[in-house]
Amino acid sequence: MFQYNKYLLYPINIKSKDLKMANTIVTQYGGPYGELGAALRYLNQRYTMPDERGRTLLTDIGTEELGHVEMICTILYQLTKGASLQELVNAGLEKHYAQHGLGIFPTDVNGVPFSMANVGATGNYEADLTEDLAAEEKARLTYEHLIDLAKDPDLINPLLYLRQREVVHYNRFKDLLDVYNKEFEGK
Amino acid sequence: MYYQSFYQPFQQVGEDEFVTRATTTSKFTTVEEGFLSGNIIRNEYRPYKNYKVPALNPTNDKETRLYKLMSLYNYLHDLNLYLEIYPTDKEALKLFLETKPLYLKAREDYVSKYGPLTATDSLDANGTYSYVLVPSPFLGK
Repeated sequence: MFQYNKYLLYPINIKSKDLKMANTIVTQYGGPYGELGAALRYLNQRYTMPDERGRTLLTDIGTEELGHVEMICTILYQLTKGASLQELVNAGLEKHYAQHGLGIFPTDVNGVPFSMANVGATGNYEADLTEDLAAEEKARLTYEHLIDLAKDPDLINPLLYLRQREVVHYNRFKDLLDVYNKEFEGK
Repeated sequence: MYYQSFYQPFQQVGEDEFVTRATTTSKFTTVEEGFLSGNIIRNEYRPYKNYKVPALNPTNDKETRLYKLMSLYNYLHDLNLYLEIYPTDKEALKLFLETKPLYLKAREDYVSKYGPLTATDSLDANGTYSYVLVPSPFLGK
């Protein structure tokens, strides 16, 4: 089951609005390498892992990714809080406003809504964990691009943390894949 | 060294139990380093360009207690991910068992003073269910 703890994984206190940055960071909410896709990928793949090590690792990393979804949404909320209509228009967000107002919604940077269409689940640990390694690398690179674009340290610091978490997850998936390959030889 | 700059916030708390548990020769970082860098395994840390590990600057008692709780949870969670693959790793298991009571105490220290963190922590606050009195964490300061 799932339980919510009413605190963030890492502190986020952004003091200045930045709608253009919000429009870019949304990729880590609903984009192809974002946290929502990661959470659902792992929580979905966990059912067909060979044993409890894989089932619990994917459950716990998937759950952590939901916490990262919360962090990204927190960033989006704080970057857009109190924005005027004119500020939204100046940032090129009139289309978002038309459909969602100041609401948060998972899309990629082009406004394409979140999709699981290209998220893999094969029932085979080797294929699934290999996909997971690629997913973590793509997420890490996306964070690097966002850090390059950001100027505010209140924003950069949580992005650095989120980037490092992708490194940790990559290493844990690699460890698990190596252990399983030794023990199960691709079964 | 990158981790020297962020020792101060936690030293201000002045509580001996929040001292580093891992030694400098351990594969694992201290609780503080692990939280601020985002990685509790020393040789797995990947810096990005010239960005330094940021210091946290709690501005009041509530933030100090909260950041301590966050960092202890982060450490336990990362040890958990490692132990899920290597459940018989002696050092990781020892660190987990040593850190767990620190985490539970930090959680109690926060909740007893600043209110519930889960629905089941809730109490009667002058006739009000206390969980709804706690602001959602995404609101910021």
